[in-house]
Amino acid sequence: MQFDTRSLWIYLYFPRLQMDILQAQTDSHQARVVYDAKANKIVQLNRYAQEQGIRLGMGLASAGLLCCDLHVHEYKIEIEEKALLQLANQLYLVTSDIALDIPYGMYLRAQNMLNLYGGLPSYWQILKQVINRVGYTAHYASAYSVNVAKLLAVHQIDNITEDKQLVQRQLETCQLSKTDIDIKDLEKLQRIGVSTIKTLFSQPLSALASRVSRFSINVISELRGEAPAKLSFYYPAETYHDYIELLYDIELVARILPIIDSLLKRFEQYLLVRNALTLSIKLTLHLREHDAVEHIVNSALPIYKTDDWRVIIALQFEQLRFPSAIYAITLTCPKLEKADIAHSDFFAHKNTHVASLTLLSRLRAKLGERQVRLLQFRADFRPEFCSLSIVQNTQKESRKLSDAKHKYSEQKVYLDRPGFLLPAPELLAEKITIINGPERIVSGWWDTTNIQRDYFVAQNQQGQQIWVYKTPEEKWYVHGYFI
Amino acid sequence: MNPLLHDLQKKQLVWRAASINQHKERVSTGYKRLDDALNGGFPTSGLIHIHSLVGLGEIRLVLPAIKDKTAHQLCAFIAPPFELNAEFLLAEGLNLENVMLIDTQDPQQALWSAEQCAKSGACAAIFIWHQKLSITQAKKLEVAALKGDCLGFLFESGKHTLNNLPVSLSMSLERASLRTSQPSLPLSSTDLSDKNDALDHQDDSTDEHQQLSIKVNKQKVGWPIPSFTVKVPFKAKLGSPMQNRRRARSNAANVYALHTKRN
Repeated sequence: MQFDTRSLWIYLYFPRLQMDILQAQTDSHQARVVYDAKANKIVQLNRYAQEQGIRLGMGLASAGLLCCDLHVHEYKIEIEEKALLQLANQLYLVTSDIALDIPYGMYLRAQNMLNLYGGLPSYWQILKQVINRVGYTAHYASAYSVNVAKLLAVHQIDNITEDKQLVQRQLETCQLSKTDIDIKDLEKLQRIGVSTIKTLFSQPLSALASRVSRFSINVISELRGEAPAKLSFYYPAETYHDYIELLYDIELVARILPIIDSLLKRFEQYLLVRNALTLSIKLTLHLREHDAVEHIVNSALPIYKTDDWRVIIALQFEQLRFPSAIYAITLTCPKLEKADIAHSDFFAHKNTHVASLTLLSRLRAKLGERQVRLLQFRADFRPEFCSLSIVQNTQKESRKLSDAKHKYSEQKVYLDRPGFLLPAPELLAEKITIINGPERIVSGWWDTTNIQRDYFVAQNQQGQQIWVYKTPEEKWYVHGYFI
Repeated sequence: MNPLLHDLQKKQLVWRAASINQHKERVSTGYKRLDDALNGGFPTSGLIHIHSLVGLGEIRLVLPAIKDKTAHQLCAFIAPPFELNAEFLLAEGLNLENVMLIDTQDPQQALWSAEQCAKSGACAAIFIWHQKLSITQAKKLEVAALKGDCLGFLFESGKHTLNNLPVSLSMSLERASLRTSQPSLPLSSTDLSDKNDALDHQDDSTDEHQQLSIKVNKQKVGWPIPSFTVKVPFKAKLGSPMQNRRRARSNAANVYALHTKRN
């Protein structure tokens, strides 16, 4: 995206991101360097390494000579990229336009935030809080052009200002070599006597255009504030993904739950600021010696709270055994639901809809999906086909259901039907008294289970009222109880 | 008065026989005699222990009380001993969409589900079939039901049941005709040839088959009440249509007269 040359930008520069991440994990006083094997250069180092005389840009051999117990870490751009993304994710909550400059910096467009925060100082305060929270070494600068801001930050000016002239003065003290201009072009410029920013600016752009590459010309014109910058802004991911590596391997469910809890808390924060809810999350448990196990945790009702998830997860994990130790957990959420402001009356029905969905998810998590069922009526004369128990009540089914119910309620006279049906009719084996009947049911000629039965309401010696029938073969069966 | 006692009485945790009218909130059972016995009906929430055989009309006795509430709230049947008949529930006026069936063989799981349902606040009523519920289990369910504003119906058919369970109401049901020890007509499954003759004798006693004898063993607000009978009717008019016709032939002039009488 292109922007005019008048908006204010802030550049955040993280010169030793990987080292900061490493230092945060351990607090030993050992000399540590981050080494770029391809360039054979030390690219980052900590204070203790510096005290030993190691400098940036040294080769591994000379660094090794200077310090005998040097800890060397390979430079990995992925680590820095991930850290930048995480930071951008957090900054996104306070500022809108962020562009990542992988691997060591990011641009923030300050101009459109000034009104919101009431000026640059207060805006910067907010940003600084976020940056301090992650604890990385950061340098920063503000300017009216993207490249100038970057150049100033790389020079560790650490000054946030709106003053154009001050920015200009600071810019003139900068070294040309630290700009984004191609090294070859820098040499060419050197040859024609352009060695400082000031001299670069004194020449018209057209004079330089034929001498240096197109890329460098773009950088120079942007530095001079004559051309807008082209940046693609950071957008937070649509789906949530969180990965946590455990400090030590865990095999017990009870131990894993507090860690899932911390994942859920972060997820809750994420959902809360987005005013979103979710119906299901996926927990992937990475096992040391087996393939990762995936658990999809469903809720019948969109929720976001850690407490709600905790209950469901604890129930689902109750019976779990892990074949080997877990070393990492991933929490992903494929789909977010927009939280609607409920228009329901606060006191009507005591919010039973929510409660019933919570209850359903809880029961299903503990007992299993198939154990919790809903009843459905099907219009059929054969009593054993009237009731259907279904696992999930979908929209379509429920409409069908209410249709059936509607039809049924139109019926003025109800037939006597027992509340309990035996799973299969049993042969009558006791003395009974007939109370009512017969009612002949002949049906089902269209499929294999055709019946012809004469049903009677009867009572046995204990006073239990039962539903019995007689087949054409004069055999008597018990089919249900009138409860 | 003892301040503690006063406090408890104010919270309606202690009942005095003198203040029977202070507990106005009852749910009408739909049966007048039962309402009278229970000071206006069932309590609005709590566990109701019903000691009854399967097939006495025990569910039809309690369904009218919860019918209105199940329009909006769930009604959970937890581990019923046989298969529930949807047609029956529809005929009783229940909203089938709100009927939840929990199917588990494990009594522990059934009790857990019952407790969850009762305290969730989503259920108007729960039905549990359980033998030999312990006092602690009953108390747990009772507390859960009170918390979730739910009526819990506990059905027990065993002979050796505890009568000291901490429930809101405990009743025993029996077939009234058995109590009066009126001999019912024996009819064996093998010898049914004279069935029609047997039916002829049923004319006056059809009503008697709908009578249920209820004994209130204990209730939270009120005294235990000895047996009384309540009519739990069938939907249809009892008696064989054949039998009606036969009677009509003898009593009335023609078939038309019978039809007008019915309307």
